[in-house]
Amino acid sequence: MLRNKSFVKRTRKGNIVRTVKEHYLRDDIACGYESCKHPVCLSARSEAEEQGKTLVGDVHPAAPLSASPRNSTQWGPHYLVPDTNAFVNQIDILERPIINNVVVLSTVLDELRGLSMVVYNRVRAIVRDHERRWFVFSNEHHRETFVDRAADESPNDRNDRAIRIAVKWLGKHLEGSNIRPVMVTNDEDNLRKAIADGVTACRMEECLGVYTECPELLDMMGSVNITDRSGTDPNWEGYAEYLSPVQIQAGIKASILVQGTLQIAPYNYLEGSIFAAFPDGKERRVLVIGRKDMNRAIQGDRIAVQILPRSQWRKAPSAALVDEDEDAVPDAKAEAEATQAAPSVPDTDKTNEGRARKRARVAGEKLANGGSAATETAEVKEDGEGHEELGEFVKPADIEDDSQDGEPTGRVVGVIRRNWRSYCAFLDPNFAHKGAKASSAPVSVSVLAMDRRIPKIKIRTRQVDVLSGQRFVVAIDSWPKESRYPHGHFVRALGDAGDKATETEVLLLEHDVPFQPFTKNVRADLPPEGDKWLLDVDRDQVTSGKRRDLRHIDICSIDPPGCTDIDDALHAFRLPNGNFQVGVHIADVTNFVKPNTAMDKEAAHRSTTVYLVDRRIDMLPELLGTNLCSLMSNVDRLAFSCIWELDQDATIVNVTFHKSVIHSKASLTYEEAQNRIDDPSLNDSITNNIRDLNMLAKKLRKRRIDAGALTLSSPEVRFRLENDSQDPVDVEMKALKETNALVEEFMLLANTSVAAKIYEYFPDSAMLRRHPEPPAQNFDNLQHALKPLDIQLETGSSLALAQSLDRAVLASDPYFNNLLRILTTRCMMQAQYFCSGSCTPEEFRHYGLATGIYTHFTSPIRRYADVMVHRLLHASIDRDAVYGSELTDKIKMNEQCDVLNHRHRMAQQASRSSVELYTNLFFKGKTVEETGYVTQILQNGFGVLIPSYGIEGVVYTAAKDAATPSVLEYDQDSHALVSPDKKSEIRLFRRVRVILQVDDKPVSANVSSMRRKLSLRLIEPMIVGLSIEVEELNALRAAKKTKAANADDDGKIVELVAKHPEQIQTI
Amino acid sequence: MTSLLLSPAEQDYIIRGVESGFRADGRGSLDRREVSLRTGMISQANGSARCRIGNLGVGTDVLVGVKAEVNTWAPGEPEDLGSIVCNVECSPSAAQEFEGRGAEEINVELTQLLDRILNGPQSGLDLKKLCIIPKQAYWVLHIDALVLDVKGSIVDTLVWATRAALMSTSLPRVVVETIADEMGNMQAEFDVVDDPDDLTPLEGAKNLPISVTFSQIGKRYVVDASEQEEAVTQARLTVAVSPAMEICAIQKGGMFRGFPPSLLTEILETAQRIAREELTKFDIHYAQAKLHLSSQAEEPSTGSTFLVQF
Repeated sequence: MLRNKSFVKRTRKGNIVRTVKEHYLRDDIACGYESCKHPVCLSARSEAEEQGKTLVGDVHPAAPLSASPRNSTQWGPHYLVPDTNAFVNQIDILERPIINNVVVLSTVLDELRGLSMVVYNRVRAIVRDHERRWFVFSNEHHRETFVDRAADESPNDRNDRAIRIAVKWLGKHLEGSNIRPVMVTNDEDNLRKAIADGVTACRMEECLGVYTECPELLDMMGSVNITDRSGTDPNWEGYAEYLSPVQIQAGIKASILVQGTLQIAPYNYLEGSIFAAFPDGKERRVLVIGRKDMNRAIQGDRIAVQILPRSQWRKAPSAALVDEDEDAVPDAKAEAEATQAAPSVPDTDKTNEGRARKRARVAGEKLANGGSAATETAEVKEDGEGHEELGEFVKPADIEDDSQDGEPTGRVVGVIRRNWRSYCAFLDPNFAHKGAKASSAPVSVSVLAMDRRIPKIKIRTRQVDVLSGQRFVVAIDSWPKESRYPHGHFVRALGDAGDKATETEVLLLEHDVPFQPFTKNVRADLPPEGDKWLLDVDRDQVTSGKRRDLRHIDICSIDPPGCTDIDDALHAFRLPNGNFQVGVHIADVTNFVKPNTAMDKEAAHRSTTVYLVDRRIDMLPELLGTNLCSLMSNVDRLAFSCIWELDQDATIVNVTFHKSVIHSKASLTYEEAQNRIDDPSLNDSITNNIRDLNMLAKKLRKRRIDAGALTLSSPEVRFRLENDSQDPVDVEMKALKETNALVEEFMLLANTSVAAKIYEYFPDSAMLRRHPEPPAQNFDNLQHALKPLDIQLETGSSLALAQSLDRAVLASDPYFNNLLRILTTRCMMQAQYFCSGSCTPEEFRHYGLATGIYTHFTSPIRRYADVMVHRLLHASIDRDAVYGSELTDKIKMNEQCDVLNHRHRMAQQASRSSVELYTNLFFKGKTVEETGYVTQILQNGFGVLIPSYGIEGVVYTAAKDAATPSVLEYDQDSHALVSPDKKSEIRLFRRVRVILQVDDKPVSANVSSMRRKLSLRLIEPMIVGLSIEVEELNALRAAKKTKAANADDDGKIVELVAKHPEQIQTI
Repeated sequence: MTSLLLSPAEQDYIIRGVESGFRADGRGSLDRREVSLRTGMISQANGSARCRIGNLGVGTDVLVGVKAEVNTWAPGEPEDLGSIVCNVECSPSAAQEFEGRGAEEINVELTQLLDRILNGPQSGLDLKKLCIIPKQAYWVLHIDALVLDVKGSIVDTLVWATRAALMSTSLPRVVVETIADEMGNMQAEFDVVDDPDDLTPLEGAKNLPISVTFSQIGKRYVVDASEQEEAVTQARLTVAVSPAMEICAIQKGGMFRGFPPSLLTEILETAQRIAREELTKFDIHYAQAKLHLSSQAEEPSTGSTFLVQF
């Protein structure tokens, strides 16, 4: 033993703990060079071989450093030894496969672990990949490279010295081999000391200069100084300094600040909000408006917020931001607005507030008080007597509900945890045009992220020409307070914008969908027989009686056409006593996916299969999903069966669960099943079974609806794709058949029965699904809009809501009810997975389905929650089942639930984005006139849903430039947009006619074409200055006609088949 | 203090010996035994020391660890002071009568004694310096003493060890930062500097008193009584003297007799004289202990030196 290594840290409880560890030094640590002749290294290699660590490829795992590393004129053959900051800032570069033969010092690894777990894990992953020939050299435990901290040396200096000494030692050790270790650091001081010390060292740039074949590596340099335009902008005074972490903690503790995760509004990147817990225990939304108040916080960051004075709270609805073409627009506009509308606002609050906030405030005052700003100010002062003057920050504890002051706003005073990731982005077209051509010198450009909630990012690049019109990945490095925008670096190119493959990859990346092919490790967990797998009655425990043999029963499956991953099948027959036996058979995935295997972990990570318009990202390898686990007809398949005895009224007499083996007699499509029901000439046993099932399903459904289950609606579309190019040629709304409901009904029944069963056996750790009741204020806007139509929604219970929805019919508009259901869906809370131990039984309720307990059991092929539920159920029914902590550890289960909920949400959004992508492709170059309905009112626009395509877009009432004021004014009383002459107004549910267009300009022309936004223009009602002019309309119509005449219709059309999650799961 | 059983003849021998200026082990009545002192024994503690009076095998041995913890202020507590919590425990293996619950009484007695010496301004420690944020957070020094072996003069050994432990104590540095709330009041929060070498030594530890315990035997008194002498002690007086030669605590023990006032004055004067000598001796021993500790650290060795020599 050499040393006690001690460190102090503060525990979560606030206590200070001193930890002391022993540190041993050794003299038998090898250098990692594959043909080192040093006795220590020789013996280390032979020892590794004795332990069975054989060559992986031609790499020796114990000594991966190649004998012939990269050669450079400057250093000859060399190994790279990057320092800690090189890893932190340049991990994107180092991750590139071209960078190999790297020595990772244990000093660096230790530091990395403290600085960033993400980078640490990425480095670890590369080291594990032997092909990369990275090697961890334990210099901290090597007798000759360990250094003690000198008396007045900072820990950082000590680590730098340790790195230098390790590199020096390696250099000496490798002297005979002609290979030089090269230290990579961008720390000037360290570099100087290294060179003075005789250590070969260089900057990252120099080191990358060696890789002449990859010039883009230099672009990927993170954390370089970016000269910023805003630096010279006299109006730009920089952001406010953050409070220190300790101050933030003090502020939160003392209830001066509140904390939450910043969510930026999707339609306005300058409006963010957090849900923060207030001292009275309630959660409230706090708005953070404007760049200044957001103070460098980005979507998803965990931030500390100070509540602004009540006079600056917001009373108006959100404004949609038209475009972020020029960043000065919103601010300038706000300023103009402020000066125009409120000349008499006293300047008291000018001192500590930004322009953007003023805009919100002024708008609020204007709206709340009919445009008379002066009286408003007076009023604020009046009711703020004594304790709150204009301009005083509000303590969170003083906030109550139903306040007259509007919604609280706040400003960011610190970031508790950054949530930066890589972003898909494209070059700001404004820059691309200005950009210096044909020069290899790096230029600073700003890029726009695909995620509109992310601000522009400044990067330095040498490939402006290449990048314009492309999609690529960037990462944010830092956001200095002097800079208007964050600084980042280029990571990799994705391809041309508008290209289907590129765009699909973008949407997968943006939704954090793991879409890489399954790794070797995962595939190794598949059954060795592959697709030759057959039932083995002994192995699969059929003979021992653990698995029931149900092969004699007439089972069939009903799915969408072309479905390959069949995870459910059904049967029903009459029992001698007049009751029915009904069985739901679910693919027995857990028979193949054992806990804690690589495949299980991967599935848990993926959590769900993601369905895009043109492809499916599987959760489980294809062999399982579409073959061994798929309950295809006429083969023996393992299943998990849920078998009920139901009486004539479809009431459950009893229920049993078995592992089973089934032999499906038919796999039908919804349509085929429907045809069998309807065709009176058919009388075979399967058809009769389906008829019985249908009869029972109807009874179940009726009972469910009587109990208050909601029938909601969301527009779902299906595309018809051209066979070869997979280009969409038609869009249609999905039609639902009676048989859809049949299957759905029994799946619900199975899920509910299983939920009760696993909760009984695992009261603390059952994985369930709940759907919280939406708070009444979610319906406020909707109720408001319904008032003139004389319709009232009862939101007290799901039953009341369901009944009032049924009543809400307009004779004039058959689509109205559907529309109302779509909008009601949006007022709902998200359903979520949870672990039964983390909620009270009252909270288990599933509001939408009106059941007391619910879970997901029926789709283990495509949802990981079901896999866990299968394991829980198996443990509940089989006394001998062996299971580990994965079924009982509440904390782990909760974490898994968080992952599942996140992935689930992301998968839904990805599917939606995919639909949107195809919609845009479909409308590319087309001009279509359609009828739509107003679904959303914004301050400067309104949302329109077009039922025939199931798409939604915004019609802007305010032009981009600030000069022309908005044609329609927002009226708070009626929650509508009204023209100044009060003649025309736009309110919710109003039917409008619009023209749909997608720009088919070159992609790099402007931001909106880069975004590929669908643009909507109003035709009816005719509002001057807003609606499309008659002449233009006619011109468009004429153009369309000629186009249609020219269009050649080729018949090679296939219907795209993707089994979308059942409708019920969207709620 | 201990209930060593002595025959009347033995008792008589000791008493008469002391009265005529001879002690059973050959010392004069004011002579003290040899002391050995080591610091930094407990790596997880903020300060520690072990002190032994007497020679190896026959002596009193006390191990003291000081652990600093952060406490949240609660109403009713002093607003800007830290605190010291003492706990003395006699190991059951130190003496036969400590077995079972036998040590409870003496544990309480010693704990209280130590507390009286240390917890207050008389200790010389600046308790204000232990306050991190007034009315919010303060340091608590937990002084845990373990009596490993008892061969007389347990109090003096305990104070020696505690003094050394506190002198070797250093606290992690804390940084206090403030933020103003809407009333303009400052709200403070602190953070600890995560640097094992950035420590602040305990302020005022050098002012800690040293104790001298007088045992009255027959008509005379002795200091540093041995086990046998304690068995015949009729009264005991512990005097704590600070380096400034101020008497900061006096505790009378033993229930057979009291001290006449004239003797008390004499004892106090003697206490000051002995304390002066003891402090010099302490300083030498403490310096040696420090030296030993640092020399140990300097020598890198890959061999297994698990056993730290005492």
